[in-house]
Amino acid sequence: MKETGDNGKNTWRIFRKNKPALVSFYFLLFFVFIALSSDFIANKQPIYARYRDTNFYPIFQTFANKNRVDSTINPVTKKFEKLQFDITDWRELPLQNVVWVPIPYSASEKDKYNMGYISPSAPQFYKNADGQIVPAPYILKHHLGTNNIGEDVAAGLIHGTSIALRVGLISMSIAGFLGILFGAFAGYFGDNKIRISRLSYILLIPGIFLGYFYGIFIRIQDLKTAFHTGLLQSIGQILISVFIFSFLIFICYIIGRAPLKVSFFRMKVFVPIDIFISRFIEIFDSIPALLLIITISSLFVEKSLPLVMAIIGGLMSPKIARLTRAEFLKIRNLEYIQTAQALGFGDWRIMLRHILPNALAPVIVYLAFGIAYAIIAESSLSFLGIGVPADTVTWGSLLSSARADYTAWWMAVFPGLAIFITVAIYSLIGEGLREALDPRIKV
Amino acid sequence: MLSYIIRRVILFIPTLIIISFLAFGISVLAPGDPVERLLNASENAGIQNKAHQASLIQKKRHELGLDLPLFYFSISTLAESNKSNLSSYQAWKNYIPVIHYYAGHNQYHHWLYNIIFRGSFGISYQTQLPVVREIKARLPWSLALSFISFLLAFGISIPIGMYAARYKGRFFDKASSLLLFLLYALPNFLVATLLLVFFANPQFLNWFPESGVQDALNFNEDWPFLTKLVHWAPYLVLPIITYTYGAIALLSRQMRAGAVEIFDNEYIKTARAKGLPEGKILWKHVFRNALMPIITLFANIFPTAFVGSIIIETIFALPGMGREIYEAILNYDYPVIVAVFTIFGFLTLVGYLVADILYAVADPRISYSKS
Repeated sequence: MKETGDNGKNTWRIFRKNKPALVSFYFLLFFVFIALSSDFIANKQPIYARYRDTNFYPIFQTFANKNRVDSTINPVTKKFEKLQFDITDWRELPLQNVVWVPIPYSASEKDKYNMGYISPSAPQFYKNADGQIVPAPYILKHHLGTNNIGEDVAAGLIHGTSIALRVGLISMSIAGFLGILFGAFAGYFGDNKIRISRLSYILLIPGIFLGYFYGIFIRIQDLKTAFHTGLLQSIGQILISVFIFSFLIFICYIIGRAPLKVSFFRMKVFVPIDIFISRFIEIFDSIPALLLIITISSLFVEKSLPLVMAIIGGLMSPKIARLTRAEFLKIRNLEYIQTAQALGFGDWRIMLRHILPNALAPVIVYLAFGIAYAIIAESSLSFLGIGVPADTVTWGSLLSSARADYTAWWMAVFPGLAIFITVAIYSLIGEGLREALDPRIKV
Repeated sequence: MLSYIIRRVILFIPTLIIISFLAFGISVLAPGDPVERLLNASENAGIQNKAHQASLIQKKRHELGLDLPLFYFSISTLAESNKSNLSSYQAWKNYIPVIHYYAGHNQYHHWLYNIIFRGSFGISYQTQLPVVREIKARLPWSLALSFISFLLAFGISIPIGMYAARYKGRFFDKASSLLLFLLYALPNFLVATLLLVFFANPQFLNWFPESGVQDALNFNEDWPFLTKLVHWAPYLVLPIITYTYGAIALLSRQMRAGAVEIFDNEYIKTARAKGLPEGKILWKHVFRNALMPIITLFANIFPTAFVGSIIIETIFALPGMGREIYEAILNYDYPVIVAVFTIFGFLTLVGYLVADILYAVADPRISYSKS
């Protein structure tokens, strides 16, 4: 058993020796950089443009104000003309000087001059300042081709990077939080640690019923409204519901402790927490995750990316719960935990400060593989057209354009390569972590 | 052993019931009205006037039992339960829970009753055929594909894993590990698309047909089975490759890991010292002992073979279970979804049991009767 606290350095030292894992880690940093700076890599607006003797910095100016409108004087008619930054096609303007970003197209921008699967090597066109449609110069070319509606594949890949990374990170954070919470409870408390009076135990049933009724059933409208409003409101409303739910169960538990004369009710019985949570994990083990993810995602009429992340995260959490449970079961019987209990430390303190740090290794290794799986799951969903909004360009949705026309090889190869590299990176990092933390870990 | 199996089955029953709840819940929560869907699917939908259609919907709903309550009981507020009496509406009635109890007159009970006593999973909304018949028509394709690819995967990956373990750290081990890792990281929809782009594409290699399992113009139902098989074969090559490659990666890695552990044992050294031929050591001493982790994977064969693969069958337009589920999901065909989930849970139980029995057969030290 290692102390994670002082072996952080040690872990990094072993991890660093694993060359594929280290290279993957640097690749991941590079991907994060691409995701963070995606607006400066693929954008239909230039970084700098000199137009009618005025200097513009469209990307920065749009950044500061989304609806920025400037006025310029038309040199011929001497009249003011409006220049609305986000809808102007800068490629069509007679610019005196311009600095484009490497890919001068935005992710979901439809290029009407290059529609219908234009291959990277095929002739491509653009409308020049004189309003003529001419072959595009090298800088304005779609170097990775376009799809059926003229979206630039390279721009889609760049913006898809941030979506793929976000899906992996957020869904596995959700899975990690829920999984560790339930796994820790099941493993630490087991079936014979928590004892409550029989009356409390029986009163749990009406408690759950009342908690459901006041916490969820009559608040269903509020919850739905919050889900439509935004993430912060949703979390707030969920917390209120969880609070009401736990409060009512707590009340029932307190009532159950009343000093009754009937000894049948007063007798202490064990709460088999482990059995409940293990059954729950078993249910999710018997149905393949992807089938459940696809089914549940298709239930929601409204498509949204956060929802997909929540579904993937929620459905992956039983696997983490199982790993955490096994570690907690193992560790809670070790001597140092018994010592801690003998010293009178509280359950929370023992779980959080004494067991959790030593139980995290397999969870961390699994998280790395889980991120790879979450990215595959999300791209599968986008590939099938389920769950992810149609106007969100992801690697999976780009790849699915290849299904409509198999001659468009660039629609399959480039997004496919992106998915493959990301999945491989996370898997290699997972292998490296396994080696660094404990080679015996099996996930 | 027997008592272990019985205990295992009894423990699994609550899980199975909850899986059926889950499946039932999914179908109830699904958006869209199944009856309207059903009527729209039937031919004479557009002709009737609205009033007639409404009565038709009512009738159909009654026929399918969809007008019954969902479960044995339901929860509502006091205000909701005496909705008919509007004059007595008061705000506080929104905060009083009411439980209704319906006894056996509910959809779930009828559904369960039909499965257990009639072996019927209801009627598909989409095709209007019994779900069991639908599944029977689709299942052979999924089973055939899965078993062919499992056999292929075992046949290829066992030697790879064994030799990689035997020559650990040498060129063969490193090369095969790298290749298998690359295969492992490739998602199946990507492989399927790439195969179609490069091998079923007039611009590159047009070796295989793009999708489906048969040519509608040439195929003849009366052909002898062998002729049919020859006709089907080219359609199945790409799907089988897609099915197999992932399994090869997984199995080989497992096989190698298992065999590497065995090679470290003293008795292998003893066998070598005795002068046993290397082939005998490899296949008689190492292979048999390294087989245990592979057996675990048997548990997954049944359910996986049953459900096929949603993505692979959708891409290649194969008439298997995976595509059936996908279409059912897209068309809100609840009876099919619920049936598949329930059967799936059941098969997982069978898989676990088979794996447990295989364990006991493969390793006589394992005994279930003690614990």
